Amino acid sequence: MSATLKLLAPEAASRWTEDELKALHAENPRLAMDMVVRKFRDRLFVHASYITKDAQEAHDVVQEVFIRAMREQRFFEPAFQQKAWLFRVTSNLCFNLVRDRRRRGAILEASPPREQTQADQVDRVFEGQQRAEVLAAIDQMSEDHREILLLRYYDDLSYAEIAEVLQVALGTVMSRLSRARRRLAEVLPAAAAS
Amino acid sequence: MPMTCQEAADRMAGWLDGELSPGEAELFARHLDRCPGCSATLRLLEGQRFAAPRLRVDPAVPGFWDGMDRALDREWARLEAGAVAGPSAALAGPWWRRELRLPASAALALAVAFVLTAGLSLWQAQALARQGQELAQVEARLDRELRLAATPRASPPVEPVGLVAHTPFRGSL
Repeated sequence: MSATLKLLAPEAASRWTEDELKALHAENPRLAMDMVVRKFRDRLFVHASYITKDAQEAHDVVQEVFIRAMREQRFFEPAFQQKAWLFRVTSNLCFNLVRDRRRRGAILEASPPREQTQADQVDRVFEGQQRAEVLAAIDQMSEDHREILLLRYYDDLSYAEIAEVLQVALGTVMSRLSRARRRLAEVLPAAAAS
Repeated sequence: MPMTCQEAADRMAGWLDGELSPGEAELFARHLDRCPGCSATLRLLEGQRFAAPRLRVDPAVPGFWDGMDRALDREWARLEAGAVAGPSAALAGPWWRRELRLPASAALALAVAFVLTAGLSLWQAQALARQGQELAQVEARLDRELRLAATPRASPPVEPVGLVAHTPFRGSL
């Protein structure tokens, strides 16, 4: 990363629009990619942390996502949806990690005692037990429901952005979110959720 | 047309997040007025709070991303040197838009297989052509013989047999 850019706060980078970054890429590809990294890295780290519940894994995922972005030749093309692509790749890598972890866990299931409960794992990355309970409940849901709840209510993506990330219609986003919230109400007692 | 319970159920998140169009919001509100079941479900969902928990690890702490910055610098140098090229393998879009990249060994194996297959096909085609020619010759010969067999043979000219006049020998000479 260039020395001058190290001084640039992520908030400054976040003000750059995707179109401005694409225009910058035509003049200075390296600087444009550095700005993309600055703009998205913290949000992607938080998103990855929600799914993996492990700060080191989340850090590694974000690094891998940006390496893939650098190799992606279409990344600065006019029609390319950078934000949606970054969140999609992050989600996929994280869910792959979680699935691998579950498979390894299944193999090691015979070796007691269990190291940590799900709530403990959440607490390791997040502060505040009550808030972590909602995330722990979300963690018990299907991948589809978990991902859409995280994207909407924790990553603060709009319905249109979620549709781009998941590559589904806007109506599907709305109905899937509605089903996910009803499912969450079943999983989590209303008192704990509020 | 009034909204059904299923349609209302699919729009509850949209209602709570303010993502319904004005027309849909009006239909939804009318449905709630006459449907106690959907109203109860909505009240349940309204109670949900998604306050983001504070991370124990703060990515904004200076130095947190230094390792990644170094890794990206190395990757950039590799890209500039041409060591790594092309889109990432995963999630690069639909298959028909992806660039096919093969390792050299796989490409060589494919080329050898192609040459072998093409050679075998050519040899088979030539053998078939040869067999076809032989078959055509046999058929022609058979045809000729059949035609010959079917044609009535002209009978050889019969020489008129000379009648010998037998004169009865009568008496002595």
